[in-house]
Amino acid sequence: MRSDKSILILAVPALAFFAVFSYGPMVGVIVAFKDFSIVDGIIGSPWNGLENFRFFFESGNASRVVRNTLMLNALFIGGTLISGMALAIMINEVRLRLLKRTAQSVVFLPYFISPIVISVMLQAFLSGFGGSGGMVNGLLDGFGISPVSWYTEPGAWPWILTVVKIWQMAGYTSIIYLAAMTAIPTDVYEAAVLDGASRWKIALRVTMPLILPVTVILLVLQIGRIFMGDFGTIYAIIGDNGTLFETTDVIDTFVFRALRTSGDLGMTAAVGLFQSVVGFVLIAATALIARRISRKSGGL
Amino acid sequence: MVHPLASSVSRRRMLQGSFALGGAGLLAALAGCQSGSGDSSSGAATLKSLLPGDVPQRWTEVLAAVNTKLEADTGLRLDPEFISWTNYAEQEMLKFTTQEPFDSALEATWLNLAQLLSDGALADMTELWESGRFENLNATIDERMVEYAKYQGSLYTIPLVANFTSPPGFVIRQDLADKYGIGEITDYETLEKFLYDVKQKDPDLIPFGLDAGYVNNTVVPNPVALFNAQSWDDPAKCVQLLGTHFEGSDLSPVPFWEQPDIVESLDRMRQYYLDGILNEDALTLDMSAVRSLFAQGRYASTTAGADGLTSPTFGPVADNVDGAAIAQVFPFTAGLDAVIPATFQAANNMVVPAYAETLEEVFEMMDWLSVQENHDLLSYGIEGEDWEATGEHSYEQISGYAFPAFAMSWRTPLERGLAGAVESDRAWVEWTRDFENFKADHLAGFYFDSSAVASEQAQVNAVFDEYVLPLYAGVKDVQPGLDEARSAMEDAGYETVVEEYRRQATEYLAGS
Repeated sequence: MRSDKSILILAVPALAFFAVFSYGPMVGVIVAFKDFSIVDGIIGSPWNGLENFRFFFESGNASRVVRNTLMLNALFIGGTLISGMALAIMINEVRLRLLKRTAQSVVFLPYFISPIVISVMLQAFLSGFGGSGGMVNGLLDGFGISPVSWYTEPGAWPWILTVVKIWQMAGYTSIIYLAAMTAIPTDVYEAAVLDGASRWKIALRVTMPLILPVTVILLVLQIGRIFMGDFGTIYAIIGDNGTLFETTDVIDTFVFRALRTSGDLGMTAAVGLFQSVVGFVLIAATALIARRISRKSGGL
Repeated sequence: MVHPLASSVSRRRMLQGSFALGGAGLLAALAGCQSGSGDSSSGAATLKSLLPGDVPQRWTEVLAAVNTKLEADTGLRLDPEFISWTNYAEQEMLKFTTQEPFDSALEATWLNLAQLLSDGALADMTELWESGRFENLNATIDERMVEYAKYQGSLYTIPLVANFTSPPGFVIRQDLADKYGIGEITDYETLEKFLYDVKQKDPDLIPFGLDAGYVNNTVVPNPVALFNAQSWDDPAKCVQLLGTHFEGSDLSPVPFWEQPDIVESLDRMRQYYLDGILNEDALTLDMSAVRSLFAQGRYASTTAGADGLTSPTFGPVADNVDGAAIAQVFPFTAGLDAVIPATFQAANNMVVPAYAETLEEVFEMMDWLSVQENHDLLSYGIEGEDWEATGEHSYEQISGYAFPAFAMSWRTPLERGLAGAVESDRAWVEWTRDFENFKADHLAGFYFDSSAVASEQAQVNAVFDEYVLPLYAGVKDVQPGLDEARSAMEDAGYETVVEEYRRQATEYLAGS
């Protein structure tokens, strides 16, 4: 009984957080089915069925923002996991302790940089301060390639955003992998060395298979959030630039813009509800897959 | 693997616990929402106002001085809440929605005014305005502006005005114009020559810096547009909704793609973009970034309104670039002899929530702010520490104090001009403060209520941002862009929205 209490006490902050910030506000989803009036409030506003969903699904934007959300997140997940693992293996190979720690800190640093700062840095790289030139175009010019007007070229942006995401998150992910690598018994490496394996072979045949369970956990955790767009980064960089919406507009940026331009809470809540329902289905599916993987691997 | 909680704490108990916590949290949050407005803990009623922007430098000292005098004169105190510009509109709307206690807020047609009026969320000020009890306030805000601010015959906003209207104009580097032998710019051809001369003779400079907020003012006249040459010569047309002009007595709607002056201006914008006259990142750049880059000497010109802020905002370029000088360019060939149509809708207003019980106190505070001494204290700070008078209507700034006066204390007869302001800036501001330079547009005083077509309006707005604004910024080829925009707007319900606007406008005209 005493252990029950102590466990419950430990869980209180997390329970309180989710209860107040996740479950409590769920009452507000009814706005999605109301003709919301500021004066009448959430409860007093009249019901209007599925009218609020019309705005999203009739606009033709639904399929596009869903596609962008899934595609960008897939690129982000793939990019950060692969680059994080590669980075971790490289750092793990560094034998000089000081250099290793310095490398860990340097690659981790971008994780703390604000999206606004990232957007300014990117602007300087792509179009220069003031909207003319830019470092990348200078480089292209050096190779005799015509400069590109990056902020009007939607095709390039999924890749640009992925590079930004990798730069931002690879270091963070690599730290998780490095933590997992410390758990690999040293005798496994010693056996591999005795067998004459090169460092590359050791990384490929020993390290990577042994950190695969961590990759699976990271993957399922991120797939559970695949329907959540990275609003902070994408909106800070793209803003209201309509020429780039075709490939960069995700559900979160669409909802924010819709609220700002229409001011209608009902319609934006309807889009948010759609996002939550599909996200819930994905999370449930991910949980099932994770449970199955967990059983097969004897419990992760 | 056995879950550590599975054996000792049931799932039901866990859920009960979390629901209890959630309920407690919500109650605490609701309780927190109930305090604040009209707070009188110090004995004086404290008025909470929502203002945009960052807290000004020396705010603590100035607010203390304001409250000392305000409390002594009226028994009231002021407690403004500064909300960042980037999310002022959303924050303000949420505060109205949750009925958070506050007493007044900055509102505008470019914020949430239409919806707040349509939902009946604003306090009716008609009776207090007409009561004659607030003489200072009545005397410092032009009655004609008040008449045009009325919605369905009642007053829900106090217009905050430093002039009758503030059309978008230009600030240019006059030192460059002089260097090229251009001199004063008074017509569109000369402006264009200036832009191309900059490109040719000072290739490190970008001739014009455009920000995302002003993209809507490049080609569509209301009644002038920055790069609409025809509107410079004949500023007669006020385009109202989504680039649509409602022509004649039957308010026949003409979309922007059928207005020759706009299509010609779109071609011009495209050419400017391709020729490097404009910055490439206009659609992502905000106003503060453009102003900062102008001050650093990166742009040779940009947008500047007739709000009296041209000299203080852009003048600092002289500190960063040797020999730099600025001038205001009026966007009319007739210069200061022009008489232009205006809707007389104030760009900024003060509103009071319908649920607030402090409307009278807000009027008392606004009346107090309509006295020169009090107006100066809040607008310019403490005399001798933040500013010094250099004449009856001018001042010299001493400290870095900068209050968003447009959101509370703007009163045309009380405004002071900054000493050392460039002459063209001062002259243009003077011109906008003379009612004789304006004539009422046929739809002046009309507010569109889009609630009947809310879904279509939201869809059309989304399409407008995506397909039309890039055309206005010159970043897309005009003809295919126009075809694409037209098709997308029609699919989104453009005609439904326009027809509803026309119906309401016709009713308004019939009743007025």
